[in-house]
Amino acid sequence: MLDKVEASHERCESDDAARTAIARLCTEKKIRSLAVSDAAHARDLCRNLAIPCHQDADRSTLLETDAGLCTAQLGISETGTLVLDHDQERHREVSLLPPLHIAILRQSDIHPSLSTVLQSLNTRGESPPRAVTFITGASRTADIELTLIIGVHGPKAVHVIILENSP
Amino acid sequence: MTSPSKQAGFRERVQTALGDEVLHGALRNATDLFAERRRAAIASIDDWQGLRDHARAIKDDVISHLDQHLEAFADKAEARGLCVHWAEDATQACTIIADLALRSNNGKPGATVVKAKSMTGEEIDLNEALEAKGHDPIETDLGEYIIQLAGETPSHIIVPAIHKTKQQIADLFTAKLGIEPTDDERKLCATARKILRTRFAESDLGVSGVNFAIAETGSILVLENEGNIRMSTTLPKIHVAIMGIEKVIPKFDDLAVFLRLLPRSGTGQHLTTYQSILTGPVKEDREGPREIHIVLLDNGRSKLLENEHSKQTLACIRCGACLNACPVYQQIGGHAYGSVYPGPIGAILTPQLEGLAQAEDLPFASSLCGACRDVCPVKIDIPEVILDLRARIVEASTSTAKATHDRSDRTRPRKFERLAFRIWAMTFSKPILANLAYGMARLGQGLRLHRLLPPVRAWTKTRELRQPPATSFRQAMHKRSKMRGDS
Repeated sequence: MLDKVEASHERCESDDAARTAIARLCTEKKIRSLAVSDAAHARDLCRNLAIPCHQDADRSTLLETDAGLCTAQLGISETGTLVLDHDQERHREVSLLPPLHIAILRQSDIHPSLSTVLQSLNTRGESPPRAVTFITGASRTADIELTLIIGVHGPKAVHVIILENSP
Repeated sequence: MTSPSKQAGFRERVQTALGDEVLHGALRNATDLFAERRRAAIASIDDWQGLRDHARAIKDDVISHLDQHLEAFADKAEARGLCVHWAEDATQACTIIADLALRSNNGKPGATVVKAKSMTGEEIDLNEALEAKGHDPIETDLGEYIIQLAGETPSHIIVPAIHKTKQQIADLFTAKLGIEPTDDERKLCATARKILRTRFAESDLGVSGVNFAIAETGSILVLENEGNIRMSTTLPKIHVAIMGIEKVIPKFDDLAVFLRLLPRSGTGQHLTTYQSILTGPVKEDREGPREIHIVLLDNGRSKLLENEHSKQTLACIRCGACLNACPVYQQIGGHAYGSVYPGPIGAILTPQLEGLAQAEDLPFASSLCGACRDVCPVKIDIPEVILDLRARIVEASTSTAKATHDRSDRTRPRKFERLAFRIWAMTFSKPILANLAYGMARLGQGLRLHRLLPPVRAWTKTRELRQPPATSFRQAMHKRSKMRGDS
């Protein structure tokens, strides 16, 4: 489903494979600097990168960085959607400001449908998280003569790395 | 806000629109494309009709217990730290938001206010109110940004600048933003992205609409494709969401129903690129505004609750599917309606919000074909509401005429109508007279009399009459039964 919404993706069987994939992506897309969220796992996956990897980047840094890396708490296979729970991880701006968004998603966190994801967001003690973002592909518009343009205010591209190993 | 004089220009605006070939091309492309995409998208749902029924049932419950659901929402939302404001009308809503703008800029005018697309915001003329107080509202949805630069109003709920060609937009950007002339829409988009990123980064107040407010959890959901809502609700210090009171839904799980219906109906997408579900402001160490406010806007909506036939108007989820299906909208576009809400939903909502007298032409801008009813995800029977409004308008003008002894032009067509219908009833209840009438009609049409004689002329000016057949049905049946030897 990710293909249909112009989000590229690949499957990785191990954390090492994911590290290689991220490095390769940075080379392919000519990424000069990367910002990473506060998730330990995400930080671990970019520890060997040749390019600068900003942790705890402030807003002005994020506005200048080429790519943002974070994890996605859940996924929805029916629609190719990433679900970011911003109570669990500080990834609201790192997934929004840089032009390339790289998301790490575990296969085991992928739900088949929207309904089960909504249920799972609302079962915890505090009921829904304070902020949740569903991301399906890259930002887009058809406001000019209905021509589809990818990359408006949000990221111009999304790449999902699906981890098939268990945590 | 639309004034009586604006509505009075309806026929003139329609004539203008009908003469605009560029507009027609654009409308045709847009409505055809969205309709086709919608059809493809709903094919992916097993039980589309069942889903519509479910959504309508939820909305009916909301409409019947609106006060309860709103109170529940307000309680839960406030418990999560959302500041809830109740605005009876546009003026109150604008005052609340202008005050927030002031607060967001340390008590000084000149706040940078980034606005995500909100029909409710348009409805209350929010930009004007903010500018009057010295603040700087910037539309951030690309289509809205384009029309803000052009000083125009939106012509479609989903694609506000659909009436503009790429060339017109390019010329506008060159004139207002000083960029090199270009015919590459990606360059135009990139220009807007660059300019707006700066404004987002320095913004004080973010304004958004609300697609759904959930009573069970005190959450709000906003959906989009561009990312400007995420920007407007993440970067500024204060976020204010403005919402028509009918947008509340009871349960968090109800989102599964509406998120399946709304994107498919509006743009033919399974899901729009982003949904943001916000339940109160975030904790201090998290990114996002320190304060979230919501303005619950009435502005005439609670009046609709009083009418059994037309209160279903409040079920609308603002998808725009009815616009894309409507043959009238396809011909005249959004501006001709002279109101924030165009198309079939506008034809029934605007008169009810603003008063029948203010918008009395709109319910008559319909052929009652029912295409809108067929595509409406929440099954609003728009033709039924149109007929109800027409009846109320006619009644109101009749009784006003009687009460004021008004012999003006407004009442004369009604008198003619009543007379015409009485004569019609008398004629067609007697076979001899009916046959005579048919014969005369054929003769008259042959002589083109229908083009000449008022009041028929007024009616036929914009309608084509079918050619009557050489032999009438009755004559043909009569001949046939004679040939068969029937008695």
